[in-house]
Order: sequence, then C-alpha cells, then structure tokens
Amino acid sequence: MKLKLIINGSESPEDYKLLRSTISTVASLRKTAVLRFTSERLVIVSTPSSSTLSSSVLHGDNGQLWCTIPKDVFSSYEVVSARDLNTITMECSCDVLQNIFKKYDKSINQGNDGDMTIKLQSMPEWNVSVSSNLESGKGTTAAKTNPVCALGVTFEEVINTNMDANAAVKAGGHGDANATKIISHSFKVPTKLLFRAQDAKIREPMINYTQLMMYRLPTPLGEWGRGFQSFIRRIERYSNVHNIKLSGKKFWQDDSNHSNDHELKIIVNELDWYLEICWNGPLDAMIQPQDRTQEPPASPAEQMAVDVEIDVEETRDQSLFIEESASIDDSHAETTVDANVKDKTVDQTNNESPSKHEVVIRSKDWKVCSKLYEAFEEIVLAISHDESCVFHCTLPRGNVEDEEGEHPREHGQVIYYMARVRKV
Amino acid sequence: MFDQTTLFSASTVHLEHITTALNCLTPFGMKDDVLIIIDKDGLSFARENNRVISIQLYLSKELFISYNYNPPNEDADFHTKLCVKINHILDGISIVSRDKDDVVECTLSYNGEGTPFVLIFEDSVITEKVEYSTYLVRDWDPTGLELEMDAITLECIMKGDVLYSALQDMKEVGCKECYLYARAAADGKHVFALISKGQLGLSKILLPSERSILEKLEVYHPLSHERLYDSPVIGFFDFATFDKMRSSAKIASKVLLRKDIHGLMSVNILSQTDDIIVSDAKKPRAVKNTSLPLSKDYPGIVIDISVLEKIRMDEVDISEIRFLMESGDKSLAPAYNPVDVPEQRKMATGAVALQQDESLLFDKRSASEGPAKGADEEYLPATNDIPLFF
Repeated sequence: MKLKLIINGSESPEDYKLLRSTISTVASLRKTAVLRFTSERLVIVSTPSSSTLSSSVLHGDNGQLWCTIPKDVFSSYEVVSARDLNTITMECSCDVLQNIFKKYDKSINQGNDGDMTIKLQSMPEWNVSVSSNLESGKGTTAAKTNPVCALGVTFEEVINTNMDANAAVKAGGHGDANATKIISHSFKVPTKLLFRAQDAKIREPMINYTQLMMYRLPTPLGEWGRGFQSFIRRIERYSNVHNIKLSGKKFWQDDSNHSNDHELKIIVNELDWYLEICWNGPLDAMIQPQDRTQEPPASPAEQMAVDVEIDVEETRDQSLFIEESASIDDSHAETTVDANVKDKTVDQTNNESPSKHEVVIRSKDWKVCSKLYEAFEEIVLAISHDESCVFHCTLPRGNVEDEEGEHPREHGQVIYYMARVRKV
Repeated sequence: MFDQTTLFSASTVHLEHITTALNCLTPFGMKDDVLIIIDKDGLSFARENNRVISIQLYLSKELFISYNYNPPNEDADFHTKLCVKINHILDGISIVSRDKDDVVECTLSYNGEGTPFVLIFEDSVITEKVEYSTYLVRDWDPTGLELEMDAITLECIMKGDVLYSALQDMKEVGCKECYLYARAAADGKHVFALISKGQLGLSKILLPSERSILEKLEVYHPLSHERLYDSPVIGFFDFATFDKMRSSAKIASKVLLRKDIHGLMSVNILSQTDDIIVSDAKKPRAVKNTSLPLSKDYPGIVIDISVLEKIRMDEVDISEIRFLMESGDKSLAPAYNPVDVPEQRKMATGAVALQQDESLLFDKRSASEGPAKGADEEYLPATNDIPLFF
C-alpha cells in the first residue's frame, strides 16, 4: 500500500482552494471524515456511519457530505493498493487536518511557494498500544481493530532572518545580515485504515427520483448570485428556527399571472408565527423524471439525474434510501412500496397538478448550504418530495489538452445529502 | 398591495432606523409582548414592567412612505391595539444579510382582531412574508405611572449622550441602587449628579453644569410652584430598573427629566433623525440613509419612560447623600468631618496647615503625623536635587 500526494498552494491556487474549502466544510459538520483515495480521485465523505460503521441507513437527523477531488488537483498523485482501483480508505480527524492547512495557508500568504506533501506512513508503535489496550479491556477481537497509520504532512517554509546590526556583531561579526532559514514543518495525522467490508458499506446515498424536482441555482458570481445568496441567508436572522421547509412549485400555463414558471420558497410554520421567503429571480428548473422528455438533456444536472436513475435500477438497494430514524419501519415499507409500484406512482404524480415538491430539513443543514454556495460555481438543488434534499455543488476547472484533443478536466464537486427531519 | 379596506397598512424603507428604535424596548423584556397602538398619526409601542417602569415609543407616520389607517368610524382619537413579541418584530425588521445595493421595502399590515400582524419585505428578487399571531391584548394600564403635572418638583433638560455615559459608568462600577441629586443655583451653576450605591460604596457622577450640556434645571416647590434655589431634589431608584433606559439614552439627542412629589420620574427622550444618520455614517451601509432622506416633517423617535422611586428614603440616607454632594463644596463649613474620602484627600495633598478642628478629632495621631509630614515636605526638594550632582 502506498500513498503519496503533492499539492502546491501558490502554483495552482484554485485547485488548492478546492481541497482547502472541502476540508473546512467537512470539519464544520463532524469531527471525523472518511478519505477514500482511488487511482482517479480523492473522495472525502462525512457520514454518520463512518465512526460506528454499523448501518448505512441514514438517520433522520444526519446529513451526508460527499466531496470529489480529482487527481489532477494534485501536482503528483500516487496511490497503490491491492484493492480495486487502488482504493485506500481511511478515517481521520478533520480538525487536525484543518489546522495543518491553516498553517500552510499562512506560509503561502507570506510568499512561500513550497509544496505540501502528504504520505501514508505505517506506525507500528501506535498499533501496539491500541491493540493491547483493547485486549486488556475486552480481551477479544484484537484482529478486528482497525490498523492505525499516519498521514504524514510536510512542507517547508523559508524565512528571512533579518538580523539587526548589533546581533550580527555579537554573533561574531561575519556572516551576512540577510540570512534565509528553512523551517521544515512535519505533522503526523493519525488515521484509521478501513477494511474492505467497512469501505464497501460507505456508499453514496441515492435519492428517490419518482418525485424529484431539480433547480439549477443562479451562479454565485453571476448577475443573480448576490440576490440568491441573500435569499439563502435571510432565514438566519430569525432566532429559534430549527426546521425549515423547502418548497418548490410549478405553475401550469393557465396560472399565467406568474412571471416565473417555478417558485422556490423557504417556509417556517411555527405555532404563533409563519414565515415565507420567496425567490422571485430566475430559476432553472426541471421535474424528474416525468418532464424529462420535454427538456434537452444537456445540463450536467440532468445527467446526474439519469445516473441516479441507473443506480436505482441496478441496485435497488433499499437500505441506501434516505430514511427517517423516528419511523424507520413505516417509511421503509413506504419506500419499498414506492419502488415496487413505481410506474403507478409516476402516473399519479402526473395527474397531480400543480406539482409541488416539499421537504422539511434542519436550518443548521441549510446554513451549511449557504457556505457551500459561496465557495462553488455551479449549484443544483434537488428536492425529493417529503424524503430528502440534495445540494450539489460543482467547480469547473477549465480544459486540458492531450493527445486526444481538448477536453474538460474533471470537476471538483461537493454533494450534501440531507434527510428530511419530519413529514411535510 | 393592500386595498383601502385593510384596517392598517404602512410601508417603509427605513428598516435600520426602526431597528434602532425598537432595540430600546429590549431591556423591558426581550421575549415579552409589546402593545402596539395604531392611530392616525403613527405607531406607538408600549410596555410596562411590574408597575414600576413603563416605556412608550412613538414612530411617527412620516417615517413611512405610505400610511393607511382606516378606522371604522370618524372619531379622530380612534385607535387599534394589538400585542406581539418584541423579539419577533426585531428579528423580522433587522435584515442584516442583504444586498447592499438593493432597497428593501417593508410593509406592515394588520386587519383587526383575529388576524395576524403581517410584515412583508420586498426587494428586487426576494419577497418575504412573516405573520405573527396576535392572540391576546394585554391592555395598557398606566395607573401610578403618570406624572402629576401640578406637583412637579424637578424639571431638567440635558444632552442624551452625557446621560448615557453616566449610566454606562454606573453599570461598570457595579451599581445596585442609585440616587439622583439635583440642585438649582441662582448663579446658573446647577448641580446634577447620579450617585451609585453598590459594593464599592457610594460614588457620584457629576454631570457638567455647562449650558450646552445641562440646558435647564429647575426645582419647584411642590405646592406653591415657586422656583427654589439651593434646595436639592433627591430620588432613589433600583438600578436594574433605572438602567433599562440606557439603550434609549444611547440614541437620545435630548432628554427631558421631570419628577413629581409622588416619586415618579418621567423621562422624555427625543432622538433626532440627523443623529441616526451621523452615528450610522461610520458604517458603510449608511449610504442608504443619505440616498433616501426622511421626510422633513419627521420628528424623530420619541420615547417616554416613567420610573417609580424605590422607597421613601429615611433621614440617614438623605443626610448621607447630602454630605457626599456637599462635602466637595468649599462654601460649607467643615463642622462634620468623619474619616472619609475628602478627609484623606486633604491629608494627601500634604498641607502643613492641618486644620485645628481636625487635630481635635484625631488628637494624638494627627498631631504626630502632622509634623512628620511637614518634615518630609521640607526634605523632599533636597533629595530630589541630589541625583543631579552625581
């Protein structure tokens, strides 16, 4: 097993920023994250099951964050392992990682241009202590303990030691006053390597596409970006808001008094007050899948939807649907029914006019979305009616030319899956 | 948006200004109901705490671009009352994260009993509507908190910022109870002081008597209404209650203080719009205010606060306060001179001429200290000179 990555914050600031903001977003959600290195990309996952590894069913109060960092973000990317696609999966503390990045940031901002090298190092002495602890504690299953390794992160910082005249004289009178010194920073981040079976359990959640509404949100840097940004953040000034309802609505032709075909609202319905924040700017929307034939299948979001569909067809793995913890049995049954009589459901939704997609999520999760919105370029919001909500952010990274001609580089992407908190 | 049949609707763009105004209500109970009284001239927000202190805040209709109040009858004094929680309204009004180049227009509306109080915020891309239930109306009962105009003993006008910094200082020294001391002087050198009583003992904050700060101070005889000079008016308040007016004083340009014989103090605060624009000018968002000036007729925020005195003071308290206030005056004969701050100050200044009567009080100690001090004084210049020669 071998892992060696190099990234340079001053030579490719955009790429570095992607990795950096991914780490800080993951750190804002949970204490630990799963890093899955494959020969093509690094996937960083924040999932509630990563620490317990008991079940892949999402609980109602937990979201999952999946971040993709293509390998060409790194100036050098070497991953070798015995598993398929050279997969190496590990779990580590986000805070430690984030602090290292902060130190590196500081060094870059002071004009340094050093590489940051990340290597996997075996730490036999750490594993001894872990297994012996376990043995003394439980006296069983030392073999099942995950091996602990270290992600060794190193970078060099060049500093100018501007010695003043007096100090130079005291130091012996010779030697130039403008000496440069190199500080070599080296960190070891403890990580827990995950077994193949554990790794297999961490799978990207799928959304129920039978009643799915997708909106391509205005680009943050575009004409409507600032407006949409304040739309997302308007809710934050209300204290004591725990849950919000996202509501997407399509108006049919006869409702011609609306300037838009679509309406996106944030709704809070509390005992003694009611709030509705409505976005009136442009909204690029599509209903999946019943409207798919009417729309040109050009956008990446559309492709994502198709991907989702294929996944569902292939796996039909009900355990991966986002479910509510409070009523697992109920909703589980519902989902199964949904899938079985899928065609029927589609028919039903076609008959329901005007189609409305609503989901209740935590306002805390929505706040994470507002931070993600600032950091990315293409954002898609998907609402699966009364089940889940997905905030899909992509960062295009220009084109690359090789012998096969020009083609776009793989996008950096962050997908935030939020389960509903309760029924609409 | 609203037709003429709506009982009340008004819209404004001066959200920062209203936020500033409503923030004055928060010390009176952040999560409590505030009574909103709507009439043809504007809105007033009223709240009363334990019949000890009350606040009324007026927002004149000139603050609104449009102001429609359609009472069911022609009575000019007709008004509508409703109750909403202070924090609810403040949360809604204070739009912080917003596009700075855009103007948010806010429409307030209410359509009588059983309907919610509605705020609608609109800018070019977002429409936000928030409805607050108005279940109960706790009626306004100002009994005991109304100033008796025929029995006023003190009337005083001062600058708001001076009162604010005095209150701020009192809070910082950990004031528990406070006294108000006011004395008019025939020569115009009035005295207005706030005295804090806390763990640190008594400490007085004397407000400058310049006309530019203390514009007017008059003390009246409660029955004959004649002006009195050199006769102090003393008030005694619980500081936690008294301090509730601090956030109002912060935005005040002028404060009118009046106190009647029954121990009620009424504080009228006027906050001129100019002041708001000036104080907001430090923040970048003030550009909005200058580009959309308020109507010239707008009188500013008007706040009325009434505070009741804590208890009747006994003679000991009064004499203590009088002593504290008058001990600084040179005109007073040092007939009564216990061990106290002013006493020590005199010793520290090191006058060789210790008064005769003091040595009577401190017979041996001061007698021995006096000469010693005198000797020190004589030697000091010499010792100071010595290092220069080395």
